[in-house]
Amino acid sequence: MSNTGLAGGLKLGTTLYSFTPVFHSRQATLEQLIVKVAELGVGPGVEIVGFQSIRGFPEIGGEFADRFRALLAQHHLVPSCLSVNADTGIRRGRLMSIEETVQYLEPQILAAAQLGFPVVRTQFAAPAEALRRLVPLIEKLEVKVGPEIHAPLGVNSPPVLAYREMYAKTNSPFLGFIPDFGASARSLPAAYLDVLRRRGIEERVLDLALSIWRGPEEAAWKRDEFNRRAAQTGIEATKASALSVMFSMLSPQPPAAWLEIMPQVIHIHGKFYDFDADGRETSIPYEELLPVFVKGGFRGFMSSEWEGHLYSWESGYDYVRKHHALCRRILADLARAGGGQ
Amino acid sequence: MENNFSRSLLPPAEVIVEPGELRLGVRLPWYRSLPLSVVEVAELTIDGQIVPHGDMRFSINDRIFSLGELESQTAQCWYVLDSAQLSVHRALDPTKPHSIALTLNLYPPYIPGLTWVTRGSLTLEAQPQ
Repeated sequence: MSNTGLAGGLKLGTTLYSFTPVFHSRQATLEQLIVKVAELGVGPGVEIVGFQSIRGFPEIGGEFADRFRALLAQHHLVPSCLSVNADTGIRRGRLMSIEETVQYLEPQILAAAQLGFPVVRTQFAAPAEALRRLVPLIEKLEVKVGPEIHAPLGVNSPPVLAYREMYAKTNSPFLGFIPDFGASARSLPAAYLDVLRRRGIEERVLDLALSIWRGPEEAAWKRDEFNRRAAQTGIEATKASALSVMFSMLSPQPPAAWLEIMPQVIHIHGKFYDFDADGRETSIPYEELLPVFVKGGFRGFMSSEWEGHLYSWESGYDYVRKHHALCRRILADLARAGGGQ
Repeated sequence: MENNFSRSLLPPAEVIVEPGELRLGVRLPWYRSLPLSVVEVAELTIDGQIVPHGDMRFSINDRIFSLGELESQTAQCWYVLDSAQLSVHRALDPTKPHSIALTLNLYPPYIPGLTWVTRGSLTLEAQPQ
């Protein structure tokens, strides 16, 4: 599906992470999911998580890379972003040093270049200094790299500020950020809360979690606060674990806050969960978010990222299709209103 | 309480009962591959009885580990589509049904502080004699 004629430089696509239920249950392979993106018309951008989609990642055989690139081209799709992981906690009880983190990320960034991805998603678990040391490599490969700003973080959270400071000093056009729209949510998905109730979360425990989620405090503080209060009230471990996920799933930064880092946005994770009868996302205000990015001059891909598999085992196919319909409608309205550059 | 990976944790088709040994196929309860060092077999019960950790072995990638060895396996990757095997040194009476429950903890290495607890269960039907 081409975006020609749509507002600005915001191009649509899909991350195969949206199809985690079918992939994890071995109902579809990587190759079949790529073909599915084309069939559903939810390209042209294709994003994958290296450690999900590729056996042996970050080692990529040349033959695999050739087949991957050929399959995308055959279906008129383009590689948009490779999500890599900053697994600094693989040794329990001791985080990786900066140099170990550099060495852990390096082969993943090389894999992205080999597969033809122009953008690499990293994570804040890697300190800014680790990415700074990788600048010579990423400039040589000409791939843009940056951490994902995911709930509970916002543009002014301490880890984000540390990166912004490093970016200001380094001044490389290949460094950036990847906003996840789950960090601009107005509420938690009703279907998710219903599943928690069905699985036996008592109403008083849910109320405790929700009252902390809605509070005015720094989002990053909320999960710790919930865990503290849960421990005090003796909530069972699997319940506390399930609920504490809500704080790193969605957080409520106002859409306009992204303008502060707009020139450094290199890709977007268009996170979504569910839609109302009119096709609007029920938790994340796309009608407000997309104009901020289009008018802000963003050029790049937004991957549709369905995360309903936190509570549902549906395929994700229909949800991604609905998300594209919603975003195309908003972008077309913006183009008509002359909002694009 | 269940999470969304509870139902796939112990695939019924991947159970093998042999004389003196029970072998369970185990799926990784996460969306991506993880190193074995962040995988912890917290508890296995058979018919409500806790199985001592020393009676179990964990195998993947053609390697066999004691449960205590997992934490040091930073270079062994559990690919997300592969089943691991949990072998339990236990003789089960095949003429009776048995209930199996596994709690597996993950420490996702890019989310400091998160312990992801997954509990899955399985019933072995009694086999006719």
